[in-house]
Amino acid sequence: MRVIVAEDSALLRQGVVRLLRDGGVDVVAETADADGLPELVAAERPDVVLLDIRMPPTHTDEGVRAAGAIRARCPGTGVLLLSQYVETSAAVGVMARDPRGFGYLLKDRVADAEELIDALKRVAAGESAVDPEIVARLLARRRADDTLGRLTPREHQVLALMAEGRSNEAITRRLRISGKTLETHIRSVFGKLELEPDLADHRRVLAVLTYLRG
Amino acid sequence: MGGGPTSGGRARRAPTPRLLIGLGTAALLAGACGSWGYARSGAGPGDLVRDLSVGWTYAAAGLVARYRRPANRTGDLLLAEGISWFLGNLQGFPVPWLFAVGAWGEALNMAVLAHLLLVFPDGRAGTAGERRLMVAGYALVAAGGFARVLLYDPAADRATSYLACPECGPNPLLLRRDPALFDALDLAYRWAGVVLTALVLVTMVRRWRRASPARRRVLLPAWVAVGIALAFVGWEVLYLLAPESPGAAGDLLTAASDLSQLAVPAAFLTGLLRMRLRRASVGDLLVAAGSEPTPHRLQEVLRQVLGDPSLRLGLPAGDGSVTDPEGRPLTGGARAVTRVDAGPGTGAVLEHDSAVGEDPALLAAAGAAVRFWLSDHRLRAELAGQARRTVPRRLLQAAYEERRRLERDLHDGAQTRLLYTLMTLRRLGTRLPGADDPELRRTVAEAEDSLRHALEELRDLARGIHPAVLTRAGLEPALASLAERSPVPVQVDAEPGRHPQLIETTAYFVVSEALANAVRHAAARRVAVRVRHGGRLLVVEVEDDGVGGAPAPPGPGEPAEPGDSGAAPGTGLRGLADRVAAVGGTLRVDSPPGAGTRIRAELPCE
Repeated sequence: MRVIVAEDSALLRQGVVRLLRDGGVDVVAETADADGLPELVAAERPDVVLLDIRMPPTHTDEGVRAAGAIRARCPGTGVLLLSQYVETSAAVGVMARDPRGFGYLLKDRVADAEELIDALKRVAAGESAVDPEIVARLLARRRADDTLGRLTPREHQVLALMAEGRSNEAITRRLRISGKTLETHIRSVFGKLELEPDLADHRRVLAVLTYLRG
Repeated sequence: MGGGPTSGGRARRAPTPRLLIGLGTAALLAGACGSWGYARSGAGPGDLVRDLSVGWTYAAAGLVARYRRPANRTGDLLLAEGISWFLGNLQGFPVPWLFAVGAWGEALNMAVLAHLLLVFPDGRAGTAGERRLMVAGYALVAAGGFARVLLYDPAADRATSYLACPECGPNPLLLRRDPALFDALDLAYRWAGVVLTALVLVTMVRRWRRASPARRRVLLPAWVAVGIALAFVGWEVLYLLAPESPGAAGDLLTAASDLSQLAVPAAFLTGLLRMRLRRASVGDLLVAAGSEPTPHRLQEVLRQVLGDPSLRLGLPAGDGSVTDPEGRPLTGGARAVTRVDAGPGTGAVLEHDSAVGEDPALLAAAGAAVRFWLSDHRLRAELAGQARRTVPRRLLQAAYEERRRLERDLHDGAQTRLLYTLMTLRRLGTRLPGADDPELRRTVAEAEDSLRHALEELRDLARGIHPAVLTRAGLEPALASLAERSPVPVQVDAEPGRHPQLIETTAYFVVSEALANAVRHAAARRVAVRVRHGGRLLVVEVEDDGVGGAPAPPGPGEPAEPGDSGAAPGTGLRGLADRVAAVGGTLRVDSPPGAGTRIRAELPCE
């Protein structure tokens, strides 16, 4: 898996690169700012770009904008964004563009080699990766109607994993249930939330996130 | 009313041609009849010409004035003078009753003339003293003239009238033939006339001295008339001193005064038509009021210019009522009211004597001056308000900048370093040769846990200092994020859209502080946040269902207690009130005990 790391803090960038290389990831380039990133991506053709949302010069949303430019220039390149804060609006906003090959993780995840590499792999494969913390926050949102309260604990787990962008296969593995059982759960969840069933994985994550945010 | 003054007083319109023709015909007939009587009493053609020219000139001047200055009473008076001029000539008629009326009203034109002098050029008396003097003239003619008629025998008292007319009469009102008594009464009557004339002169001198140069210019022709009036007095005095010596001197005086009298109506008319003094003095109003007049001063000047000492200037008070400079409410009542509009919420009201309304143009000019003053006043207030706001606004802006910088520093510095340490620690944990040692693993896990906590706390701290999402994505995502972290359900209903950073940040902190207040002090179970922008205002409302009873924040400028996270309810709200005031907004807190709290901030987005 070929990866470009874009992070403005040199210390953190070095740490991440070392961690990824230790995990067997091929870091083809690293950069401290988002400016020349689309060109770099076009030249190196990585599978994924690991990208901090806050980059110079304004330290606001350079990363998000660079992600858009990368996707426009090299469609199919995965982008995994790192955010300092849990911001559901930003996460959903990023996903809403095109959840295929997009990920949004809390920055703290970089300390967890396994989780980080797993997310990179999923994004490289065209899946989505939404930070569990963000999903937890969305699920914990107090809402006027108590739709989520009508879900069984198992259905709750299934919903959370779908929101994280995990595939059916990953969910069955994680929950140790059969594919058939999972499909029953998913139908039930979608029925209770009054969402369109039979969505492809990437459309599913968006539908679920949008529902949870709304 | 398009900003123009409206008056509750009467406003006279220009007379119709029919009315003018009617009045002119009346004057012509009065002259013709008078001349017939005059001729019958023995007047020569020269006398008749003089007599007719003076009377008709007054009447003609009156008609012109009536036409050109319909709102001014002077025209009426000139006409009355012209018609009453011929009244004495009725003594030449062979009808006894007409003789009595003529003898009675012989001096009526003198009273009218005095009236004219007293009210010229405004058409109304300025002071109570002037009004009394005017009334006294008419009263003297009415009472004194009547008493004199009761004793007047034209056959016996030959030299008492300008008409030498022993055949006139007979006097049907004659009560008693008593020449001695008649002489005494006649003398007293004439002296009373002299005294009144002198008083009129004194008044005129006083008015002249009071008058501004602009007014003197207009008064001047009338003061020529005073000279004529003096000639009359001289004639009267001469007549009193030497009643037995009419002869050439008497004739000459009569001729001179009659001829010069021709100039009097012309002088009045000229002055009247040139009367720009009021408009000029409205200009003076602005000068006299000074560059920064108080309402008191303005009222005083208006009183002088409009000639109404009872005038009151009403200005809008804070509570929507209209009060005079002493703070007494204006009731209007029976008096006329003129409104002056000068933009929303800044109208003034003039409460004045209805007579003032007889010159609508003058009122309009005065209204324009008041409007000018009001606009000027409002402009000054706005400028002062801006100056008051600028400094706190800049301070607030600087404080927000500082917060943003601090958050960035935390993000780039401590947070990054802690995160790196966490990464290193995890590598250490997996690569340690003694990784199987449970003791060691627990220690590493504890350190890792502690580090994660530190990162989390630091992140919360940084977000509290300045929410990065606010700068990046705006108010709505920032408020949503705030709501998600709240321990009570918060419904956010915010219109999307970006606003100036200072306003967004202030709005964010209003909601943040209100939420903290609702959770910490009000024991609210749910909170609703609404953000709307209409026109140039951003309106932020936070409503909870808690216990209420939060103290209202003090007005801007009042000291707030330091610290916006104080333990007592409302201390944070006080800080908010200052922040909101600093950006030129308003903060309202409705918090009745037991009925929830409603906080509403209106922030100008300019």
